[in-house]
Amino acid sequence: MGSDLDRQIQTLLQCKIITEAEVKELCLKAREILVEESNVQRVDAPVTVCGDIHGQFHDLKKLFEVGGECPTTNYLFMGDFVDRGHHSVETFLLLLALKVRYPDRITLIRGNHESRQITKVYGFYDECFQKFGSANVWRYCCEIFDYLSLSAIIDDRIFCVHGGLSPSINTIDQIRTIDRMQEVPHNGAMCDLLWSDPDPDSSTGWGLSPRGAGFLFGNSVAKPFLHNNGLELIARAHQLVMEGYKLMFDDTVVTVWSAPNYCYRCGNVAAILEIDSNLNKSYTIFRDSDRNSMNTRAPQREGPPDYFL
Amino acid sequence: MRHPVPASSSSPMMSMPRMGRDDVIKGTDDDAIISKLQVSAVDLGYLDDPFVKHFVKRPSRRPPLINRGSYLRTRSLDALTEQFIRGTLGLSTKTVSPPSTLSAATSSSTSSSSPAPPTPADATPLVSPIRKQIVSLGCGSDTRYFKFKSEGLSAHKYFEIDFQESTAKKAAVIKKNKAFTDIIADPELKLGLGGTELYAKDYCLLSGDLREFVDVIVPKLKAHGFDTSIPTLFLSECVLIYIQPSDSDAVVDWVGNNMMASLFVVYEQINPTDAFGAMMLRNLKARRIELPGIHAYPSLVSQQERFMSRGWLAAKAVDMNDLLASLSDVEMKRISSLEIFDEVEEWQLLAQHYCVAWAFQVKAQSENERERLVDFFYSSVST
Repeated sequence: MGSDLDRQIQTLLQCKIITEAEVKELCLKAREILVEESNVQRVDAPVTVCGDIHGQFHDLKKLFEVGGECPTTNYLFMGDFVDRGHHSVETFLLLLALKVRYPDRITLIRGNHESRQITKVYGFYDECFQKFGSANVWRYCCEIFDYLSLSAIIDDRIFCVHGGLSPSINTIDQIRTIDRMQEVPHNGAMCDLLWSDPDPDSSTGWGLSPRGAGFLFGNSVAKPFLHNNGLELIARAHQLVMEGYKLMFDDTVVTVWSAPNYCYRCGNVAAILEIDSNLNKSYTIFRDSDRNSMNTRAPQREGPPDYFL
Repeated sequence: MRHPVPASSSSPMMSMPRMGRDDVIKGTDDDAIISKLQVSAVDLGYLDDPFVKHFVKRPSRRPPLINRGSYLRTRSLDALTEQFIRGTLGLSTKTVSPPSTLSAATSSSTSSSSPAPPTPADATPLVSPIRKQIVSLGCGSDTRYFKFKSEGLSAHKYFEIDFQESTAKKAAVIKKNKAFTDIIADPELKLGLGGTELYAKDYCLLSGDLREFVDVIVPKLKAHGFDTSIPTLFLSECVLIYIQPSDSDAVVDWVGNNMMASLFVVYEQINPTDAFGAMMLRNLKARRIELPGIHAYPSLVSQQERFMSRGWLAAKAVDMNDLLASLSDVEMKRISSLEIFDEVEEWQLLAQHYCVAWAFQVKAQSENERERLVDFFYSSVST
C-alpha cells in the first residue's frame, strides 16, 4: 500500500486529482483508521494546530512550508477542509491521504462544512461533480466526514473543537458518548460543537447564533467548562479573524484561522498555533500563496471572486 | 455570460483604448443581473421580479452572501423608488387655504370677512397628486420600471440611460417580448436610433455616455419630454463610480443646479484602503475593472459630503450592514430561512464596502412650495 499511497500523495501535492477508484480505496482505508478514533481524540504535544482551510490548496501548501512537512511536524486540523476555495477536492484528499499514510502524525476533526447539506451549497459538491463527472467522489467523502472525530484533547489540557461549546455538554466525557456516525444534525450537542462561537461582547451565558445553528457562549460559560474539565485552553476555528488568530476570555479561548485571503477576497492573514512539549504556545502568521494570483488561465470556477458590480 | 474582456490585450488599464475599458464596464451589468436572477422568486425567493429572467440566458448559482447583498441592494433602492412614486405633496398647513386652484381666486377676495376658516391645520391633510420622473443612469438590464408598473406604480415618465450596446440589447428584448410591451401598454411604442432606443408614453430607453451628460444626454432627455420643473428621482447603481470624479461631479452639479426638485440615490463601493477594500480593488483590476470614483468618495461621510458640499439640502449614506439591521424581524426571519448562511464574518466585511446614499435638493420659487417638496422628499427617504 505504501508505494501506491506515496504516489497518490505526490500527485495530490501537485494539485492534481487521483482517480475515482483510488479515492474509493483511500476512503475505505481512512474509514478503518477513523472508526477507531474517539469523539475526543487524544493528541500528544508537540503539535501544530490549524484552523479552516476551505479548499485553498496552495495556501495549505504554504502552511506546510511555514509549519513544516507532515510527518516531520505533528498536525491537528480543526475542520472545514472543503467548500469556498477552488481546490476542495485536492485539499481534502491530500489531508486524508496523509492521515492514512501517517495516522499518528496528523489528526483531522470535523468542521461544520464536512456535511452533505453544507457542501451542496458552498461548493464541494459542485467541484466534485465538475472534476469527476459524477457525484461519486462527493459521496465517498461525505461518508468519511461521518467518521471524523468531533474534537481533540492535547495532553489533557487543551481542548480543540471546530466551533465551540454546547449547553448540552458540561464534561468532556459527555462528548465521548455522542453517536457521531451521522450527518451533522441541525441541533443538539454534536451540532453545537461544530457551529458555536464565543461571544466577546457578552460575558454571560448563552446567546442565539446569527448562523442559525449552534450558540454563542460567553466567558461565564467557558471558564467553568475549563475548570470542571481540568483544561487550560479551548482552541477552535470556524470564524474568520483578519489577524489570523484571536485570544478571548483572558486567553482561555483562541480562534485559529488558517485560510489567508479567505475566498481570495478578504485580505486577511492566516495563523497556525504551535504547541511545544511543555505546552508553550506560539503563533505563526502567514500570507496567501502567490499561486492564487488572479491572472489565472484557469476555467471559470477558478475565476476571481464575486463582487456587486 | 461573463463580460467580454478582450483576451489579447495585456496592456495596463490606462493605456487601453477607450472602448476596451468601456466594454469591461458594460459587462458588469451581466454580473449584476445574474446575481439578481439568482435571488429572484424563480430560484430562491429573496425577491419577486418576473421580468429579470428575460435578460439572463444562463443563470448560475451564486453564494448566499452575494444573494443576500443583491437582495438588500434591490430592496433598499426599490423602497426609495416606491416611496418616491407613492409620495404625495401635502398642502401647506401654514397657509390656511383650500387646494391651490381655488386659493388664488379666493384668498384675495375673502380676506377677513370669510365666515369659516377653511381646512384647519389639524384636519386630515389634503394631498395633491403630482407628476414625477425617474431617471435611471447606467440602467443596464434593470427591470424596476416594469416591476413597479405591473404593480400599478408608475411615474409620469421613466427614463433609462446606458451605453448604446446595452440599450440596443435591452430594446430588442423588450420590443419582442409581450411580457414587456403589455406593461408599457402604448400602441405608439417605437424603436429609434437604429434599434438602440425605445420611446413610449411613460418610458424612454435612451443611449448615451454619462461622461457627456450635460452636452449630449440632457438635450436628448429634453427632446423626449424630460421636465426640469417636476420632482425627479435619479438612480445610480454602481454607475458613477466607474467614471472619473470630474465627470460624475458634473452630473451631480447639473442635477443640483438645474432641477426644481431632485432626489439622487447612489449605490456603490466604499472603503478602498482597508485589507478587504485593497483586495477588492486588486481583484477587480485583474478583471480589468477600475473604480475611478472610489477614492473621491471613499466613506459614508464623503458620500454625504459629495452632495452637501454642493449645497444639497440633505444627504445620508448607510452601508449594507445598516441596511440588514434595518430589516424587520419578520423579514429577517424570512430571508434567513431561504438558504443556509455560514458567511457571517465575511458578510460583515463585504457589507462594509457597499453603501446606499441619498440626497435631495429643492429649488422651488416660493417658500410654501419649497416646504412641501422638502416634506415630500423626507417622506420618500424615511425608513
